[in-house]
Amino acid sequence: MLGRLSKNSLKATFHSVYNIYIAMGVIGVIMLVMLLVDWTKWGDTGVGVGYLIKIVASVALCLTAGIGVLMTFVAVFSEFNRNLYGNEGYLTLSLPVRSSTLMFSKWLSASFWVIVSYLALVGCAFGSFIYIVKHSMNEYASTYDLILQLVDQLSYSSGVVTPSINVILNLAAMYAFEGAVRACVFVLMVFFAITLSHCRPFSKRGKLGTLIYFFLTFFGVYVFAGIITKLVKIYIVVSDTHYTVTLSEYQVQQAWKLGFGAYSITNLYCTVIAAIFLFMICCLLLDRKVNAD
Amino acid sequence: MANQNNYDNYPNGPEQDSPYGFSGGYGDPRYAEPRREGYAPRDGYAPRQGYPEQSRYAGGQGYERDYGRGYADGYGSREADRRPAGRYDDYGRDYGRYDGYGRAYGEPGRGQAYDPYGSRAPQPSYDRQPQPSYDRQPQPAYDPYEEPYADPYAENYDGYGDEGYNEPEAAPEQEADAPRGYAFKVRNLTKDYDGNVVLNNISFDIPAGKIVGLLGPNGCGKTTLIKILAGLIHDYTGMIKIGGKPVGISSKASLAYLPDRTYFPERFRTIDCIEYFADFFKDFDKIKAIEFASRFGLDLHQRIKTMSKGMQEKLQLLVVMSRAADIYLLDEPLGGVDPAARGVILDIIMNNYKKNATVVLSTHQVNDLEHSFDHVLMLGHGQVLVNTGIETLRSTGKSVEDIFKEVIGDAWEVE
Repeated sequence: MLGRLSKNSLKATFHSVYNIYIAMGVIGVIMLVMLLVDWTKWGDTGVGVGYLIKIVASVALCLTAGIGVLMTFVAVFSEFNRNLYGNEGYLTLSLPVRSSTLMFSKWLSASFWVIVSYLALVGCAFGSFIYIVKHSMNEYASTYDLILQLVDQLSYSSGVVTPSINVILNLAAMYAFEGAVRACVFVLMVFFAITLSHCRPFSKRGKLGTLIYFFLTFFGVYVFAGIITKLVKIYIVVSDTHYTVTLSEYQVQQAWKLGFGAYSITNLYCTVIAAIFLFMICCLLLDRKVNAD
Repeated sequence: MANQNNYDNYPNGPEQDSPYGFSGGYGDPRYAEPRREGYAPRDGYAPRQGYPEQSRYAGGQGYERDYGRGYADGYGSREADRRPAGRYDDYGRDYGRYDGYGRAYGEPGRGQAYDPYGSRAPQPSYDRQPQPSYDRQPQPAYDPYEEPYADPYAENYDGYGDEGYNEPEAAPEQEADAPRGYAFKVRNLTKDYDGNVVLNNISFDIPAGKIVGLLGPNGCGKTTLIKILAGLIHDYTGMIKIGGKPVGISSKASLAYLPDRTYFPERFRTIDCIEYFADFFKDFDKIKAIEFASRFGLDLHQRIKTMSKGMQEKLQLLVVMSRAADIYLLDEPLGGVDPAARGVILDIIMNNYKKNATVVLSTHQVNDLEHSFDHVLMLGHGQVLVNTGIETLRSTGKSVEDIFKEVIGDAWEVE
């Protein structure tokens, strides 16, 4: 059932957002075609026009990706609201499935689309940057050197040894993972706020109530995570080849001095715990309190 | 004083006239009747005075007018005085069967009356004694084992409380798909919307395998009741069993629900709706649904947002009726449908539900449907006004529509 529910949720959101991704694709194709055009044939004016078109296309791509993120958020949350608490809820809530399965499928689908939209935005921004600045392999290489020099400068000013490229990539993977997890937690917070705003007596405030409950939830979760993070500090030391969990701040300092990286996971861990708790409350509310109105 | 006429049977006062020498205290065998809250009337247990007595009694109003002449059991009205209004709405007919004889609940000893409230004194054995003539027409002693009084639920009902809803077990010789004892058992169901009570402590049973008309005026709680049964409303109090199971995944799997609104996403095409039901309901017959769509003239690739309201309703009906469910809950299936289409829709409903399934039809179109009903449940004032078999209603010589108008007319009265 989870698979079928997820499939339906994915399709529902896709129907709402596919236009924006098609637009991004079209802009991307135009930008690639621009690369194939030899603007020098038209002299300096041609080169100038070529650069202008590239810049406009890149900005358009980034804007579209940004709008895509917004649209995806709106689509997943309105789909959630409509499918569970709107008219479609009459169908969804009468399906012979557990509330946890229902909620999990919605969360899976929403998280997928939110992450896709983030990736699209990051990809478009990074691609546009490279597209505008350089467009040959050699120049890509010099851009890469430029970034490494920047890292060196940062490392020197921080008094640490510049991490190796593998450590940087591992750390980047960790931060990317954290970003994805936080996006999923964010989705759950919104789901929780929407669900709560459909339970009596919380339903009286309508959509404003949803906003209020979301901000209260967001604030509550991060205050909770912040307090725990101050009390307990758990780190992951990232080396070229492996990850090590440690509670020692001394080890963390030494790791940076040795050219390794370190990453604090307490806050993320607490946020995930809070999100699981929110998920369980959502399921409970769906079982006991929420009505299809 | 309400019900003062109920003492007509005791010209010298109930204490003096009582053959038992006491006046209805806890030891009084007249109160040997356990308080079977919400015990619903059943087919074959016709009220003596016809439905109006039952309905008024059930509605918690005006029963002095009807029952003041002497309740069927001779002192049921005394009992009624002690009951909160509307709480025992479905008892009307049952009191005449159990009261005064005690032994019905004397099991297993049978020689001693059951006292649900705890006897203060040893109970004499009444079951073999000559029966006093409280009733204008003395009742035969109730014997739960006696065939003519065989209660279709008795084998499943322990008679005393919510925990007693034993699963009806099919007799070995019974067909596997034969209807079971009941489709719904509802006890003390109360639902309010921000303090506005829609269903007020109602209790009833709906027998299985019947076509049930759920009737009542606007706002009487028909849709709320159906939504509760379908598992769409959760914040209610009371107990509900659907085919012996509480409302949940298993009850939803065996229940086909047609709401009074369009519940498919607008982006869906006809074929998507069919695929959706095929995905989630094991009892869904996809081929039958496609045939229905063809019969209704629905294009399989037409999107819902391009359909008229009538077409959307037909689409929902066809997917619901393509299920082989044990229970069909149809909320206003004829609402918003033109008169010409009503016949087709009724035909689809009546000819395509699973054999021995229970069909609950909520409707205002009493005239169109009354010939289809086997059983009628009328709601009003947040109470069950009528819950009886169609034969019982017809025995009054009136049509269901007339009875509906009469009963609902009462329900609309301003108190």
